[in-house]
Amino acid sequence: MAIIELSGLRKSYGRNTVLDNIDIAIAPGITGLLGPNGSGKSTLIKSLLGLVRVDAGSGKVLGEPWPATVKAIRDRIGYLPEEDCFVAGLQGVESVQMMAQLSGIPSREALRRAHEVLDYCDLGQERYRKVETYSTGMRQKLKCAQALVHDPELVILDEPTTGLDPNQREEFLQRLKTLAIKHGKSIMLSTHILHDVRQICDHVVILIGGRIRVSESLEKLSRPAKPGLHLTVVEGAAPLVDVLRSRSLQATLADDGQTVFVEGVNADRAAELWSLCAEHKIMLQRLEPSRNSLEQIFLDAIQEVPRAVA
Amino acid sequence: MPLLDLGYRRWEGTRTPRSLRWLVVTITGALMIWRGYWLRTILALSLSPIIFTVFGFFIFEQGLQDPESRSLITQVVRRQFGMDELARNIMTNPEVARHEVWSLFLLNFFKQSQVYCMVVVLGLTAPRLISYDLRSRAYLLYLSRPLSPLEYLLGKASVLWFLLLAIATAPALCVYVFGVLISPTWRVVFDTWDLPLRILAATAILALPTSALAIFYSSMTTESRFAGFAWFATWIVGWVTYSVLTSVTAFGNANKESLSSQFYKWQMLSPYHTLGQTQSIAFGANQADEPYWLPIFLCVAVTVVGFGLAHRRIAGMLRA
Repeated sequence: MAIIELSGLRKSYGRNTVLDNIDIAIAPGITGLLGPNGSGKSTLIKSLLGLVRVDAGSGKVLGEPWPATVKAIRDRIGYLPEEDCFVAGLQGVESVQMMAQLSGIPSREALRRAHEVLDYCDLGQERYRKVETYSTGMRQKLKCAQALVHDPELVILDEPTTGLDPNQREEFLQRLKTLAIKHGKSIMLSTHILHDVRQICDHVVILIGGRIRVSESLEKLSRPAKPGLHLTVVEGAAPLVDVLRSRSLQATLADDGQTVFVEGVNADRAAELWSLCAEHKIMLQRLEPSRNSLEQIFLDAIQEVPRAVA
Repeated sequence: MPLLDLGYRRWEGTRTPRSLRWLVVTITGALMIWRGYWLRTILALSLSPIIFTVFGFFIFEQGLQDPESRSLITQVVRRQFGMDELARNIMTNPEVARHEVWSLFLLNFFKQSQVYCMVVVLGLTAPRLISYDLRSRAYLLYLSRPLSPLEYLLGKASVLWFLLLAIATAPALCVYVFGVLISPTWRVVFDTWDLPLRILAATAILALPTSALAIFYSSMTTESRFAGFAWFATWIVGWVTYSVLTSVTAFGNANKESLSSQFYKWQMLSPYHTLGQTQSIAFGANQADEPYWLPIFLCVAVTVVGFGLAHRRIAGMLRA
């Protein structure tokens, strides 16, 4: 069953149509929401939360009628906004406690829960400092904690890794993966960083100019239209191409001069290629099935290139 | 490495009703204000004018048995408030005059002292209530929870109402109870039963338009100092305008009756005088010839327009 199922969603600001007749169904798991700046990602998220009033559209979010019961829906969603936002004058732990209380958790329980979630989000003794003194990375962790403190079923994260150093970013992504796999949370990750999406997402939605251009599982999208194998060699890529062509295989040399793409060959013929390289004393560094890169999928979506999915 | 890491844990429990969540905004706001040492001091000082009201109640009740005290309260009513007829009533039939005297002291407490205290207390607290949230974009956090912009404003305004209850309503009700306790007979409750209700009405008059105005100013800017400046300017400019206009009108005009009606009109330019006039109506102390609807209309209009514009501003911020 889809956790988000919307149809005919439309939103305009004056003459500017931001969301144009969107139909979307998102399954449980981790979904990456991609799109260039101004494509309507944040408006879609704000519409889901009922923060902006849509012109048209209806559906269900977490099984509840949307937008009629948006307040009930908000109790079950955790939201990490893109913007740098905090309640000035409060300590970190008080801020998370307050957000828990706003989601209906009683005061004492909210404090206990705030400490637990701050531990989980790796915010140590800084929690007793006022939030306005926090660095960008700390604020990002604090926003994550407030999004999780009320144990939501769906967590919507708008550019969550902004301001985190590479180490923290990896930890953060792992944390999201754990939440999805171990705790059954559904996560919607809006980001510009394709690496993050590739690393943790099961499903990708690409929004361009207020329209859904792609909505598919990452596994399916990555499958190329035609099968093939990529062979990366230490040296001798050009001779390998000649050898492969002499065996009636369609081989092309990539721009890097080290990788050879063999089209129309499945992984079950990998052993044959392996021995061919050994026979010609070409050292094979890497051999992998061909996949569509997320970068290419994204660029194709922007340029409106129709996708042929296997 | 931690010695113990619970990791993420699920939470299962009964949630508080959604309709009361705005109280969290109020409680958090009040706690943040309470942390300010200077504000706590000012709040404590704001209670000091109640001493004069307590004194008035005490002397009046004492005067029922003691002629010297009665004479003293008569002088206060005559000199301080300029009410000769009431002073005569106190001398001839103090039991009958009780309601009017108590009303007079309570009105004086609200009108003469607590309006000033309100201006200072709200001027120090209200400007940052919403402007800070706009600057730090905290409204996004609040409104991503089951709170509407209206409930958010209700939560913020309740912080101000709580402060005004603390400096005006609570002491006024305490003085009323004090008056009942020191009066010679319990029958006084039947004579003055309406005064607690009038105190509540005066509180509403003091709290609603002022908080709406303060919230409006705070929601219009991300700089709390601008909101604070606008707040104090409103009261000072209104007061000065009224004073200038009355002085100019009175200069060389001997007709007291025409002056009185002119002054009444000028009062509507000053928030302080308009509030005072409306509170007089609440305590039944307004002049019969003065149209009571005008100050009430102004208070209602400021309340509705102030909260309406603040709501529009908050709802509009979400679109950005």
